[in-house]
Amino acid sequence: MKNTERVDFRLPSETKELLKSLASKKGLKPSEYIRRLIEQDANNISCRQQIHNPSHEQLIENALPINVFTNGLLNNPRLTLEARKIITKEMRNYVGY
Amino acid sequence: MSDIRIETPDGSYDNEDAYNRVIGYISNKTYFGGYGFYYSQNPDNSIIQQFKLSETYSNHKNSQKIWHFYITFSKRQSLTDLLKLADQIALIFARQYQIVYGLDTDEGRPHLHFGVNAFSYHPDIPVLTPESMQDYLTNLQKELQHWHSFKNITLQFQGKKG
Repeated sequence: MKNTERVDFRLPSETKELLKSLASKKGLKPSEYIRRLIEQDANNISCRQQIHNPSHEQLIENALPINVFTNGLLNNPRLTLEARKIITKEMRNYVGY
Repeated sequence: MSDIRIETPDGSYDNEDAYNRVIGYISNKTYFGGYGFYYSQNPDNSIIQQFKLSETYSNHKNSQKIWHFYITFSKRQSLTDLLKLADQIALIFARQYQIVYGLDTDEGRPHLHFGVNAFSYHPDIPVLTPESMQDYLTNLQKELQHWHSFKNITLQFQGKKG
């Protein structure tokens, strides 16, 4: 079992009753109910951070379908070679050279 | 005589300028594509910068930044076929390493250039060392025989024939 520590905090009476009631409905002790709420919230924050501040790795992985699309245009025989040159020219705008 | 030659040109790829030189050179070819980059108007997120960021975030160290190899053909191939081939080859690396490719049509005999980041965009995946790159290219040599039934494929890796 993980090490535990005691936390004392004050709640308004009605909030304490609500805590007992909500925990009881889930078959949990109030302390276990609070622990789960904290873990869920931490998990939600982590998910939101991943969506709003994706890592370099995530950005590159997310770009792969876009790369599939542009490379698909480049080797699409239905497009003329001139049209494919225009795609290349557009892509050069993003190289940074 | 070889139907195809795969070659890694000599040169210095271990300085800060290596990404600019290789990606700049390949992206200037008539046709240019690749995997592992997004399109951003912000110059801090240019394709070259995105390659550099993989090194920044990698959990591995390596002096060589990027690998450059090219493939030449003894017979003239259609440009569409070559672009498809370039895409197939790029996909071998794309799940782990960023790659750009270019189809050079300038010298009468079209040929393909590739620039592969030595650093994976997955921070824990090891860098492409000379040994692992040689393995990749040896496998490519075999794959090309299966895909396109080219019989004689020569690999010249850092000056050594294989």
